Amino acid sequence: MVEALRYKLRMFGVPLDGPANAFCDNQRVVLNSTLPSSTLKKKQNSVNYHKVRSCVAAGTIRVTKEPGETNTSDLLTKFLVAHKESQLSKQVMH
Amino acid sequence: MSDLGYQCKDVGKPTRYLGAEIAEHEIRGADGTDHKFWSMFAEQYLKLAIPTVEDQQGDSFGKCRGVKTPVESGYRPELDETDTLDDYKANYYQSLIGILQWVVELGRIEIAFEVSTMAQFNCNPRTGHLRNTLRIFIWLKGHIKSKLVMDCRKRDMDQFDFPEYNWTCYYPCAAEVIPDDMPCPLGESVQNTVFANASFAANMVTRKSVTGILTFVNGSPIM
Repeated sequence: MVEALRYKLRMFGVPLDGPANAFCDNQRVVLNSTLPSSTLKKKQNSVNYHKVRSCVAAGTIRVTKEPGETNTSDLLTKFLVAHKESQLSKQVMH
Repeated sequence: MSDLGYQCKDVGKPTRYLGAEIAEHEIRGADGTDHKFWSMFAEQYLKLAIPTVEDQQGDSFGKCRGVKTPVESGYRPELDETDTLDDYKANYYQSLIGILQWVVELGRIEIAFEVSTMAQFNCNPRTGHLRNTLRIFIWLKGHIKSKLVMDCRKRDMDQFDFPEYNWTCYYPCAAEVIPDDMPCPLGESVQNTVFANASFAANMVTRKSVTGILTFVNGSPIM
């Protein structure tokens, strides 16, 4: 998805500022995509393991951890408690 | 143009775009200066939609105020075992979901997950599902003015730690696809940011997972 967006922006003639910044809240996923020597463990089954890693190697994205408490995308995966709901929606809505 | 006797009319700033209302929204930056950004919102649509729901539901609904979340927190719609709705009410439930889906489309992305989850029960809704869908409307009544702002400022990424390693021995040929017929890039560069989160096996019945991805170009949420 990010690759397609970047391709589209480039076709529009928009200069891009370095790799896309990705924030995940899963430590294992972050490790898999930041540490070259990390391998898949039994607990994790990542469909896009190599796809993501080669994107990182190519400099398309760079990945870091953002804990669930502050990660905006939590809004899109669970029914939140009141204070967290308002805190996270403030990051995108005004 | 004026030589030909034509006059350009100024129609002013646009107020609508693809059905959504748009307006300039002012944000005070950290340095104290005001910035104006375009914003999308659904105030007018909600002002028409909420009274129709209120008329149908009667006074008890009209008096409800101050819910803190769109759906009861910790609610598990897939485990709901209340009575199923009759055909007439199921049809009404589907129309409510239709209204909410349009509201999300108009820029109210903070309820996107709630609406899509409730929409999974469109074919066999239960009383509990209807109650929570109506609750979304009560919540929207309290947050009618909320706006999706297209903030074009860049975020400061220096505060985050992006580990860097040498990948060449693992993926020697990795390179980003660059369009061959790409025009020469002009203007200010933009920054891409992605927030991703997954809820593994979140559905207690089917054990399906939920993935949430939010993509930004500079500070504007676009996908």
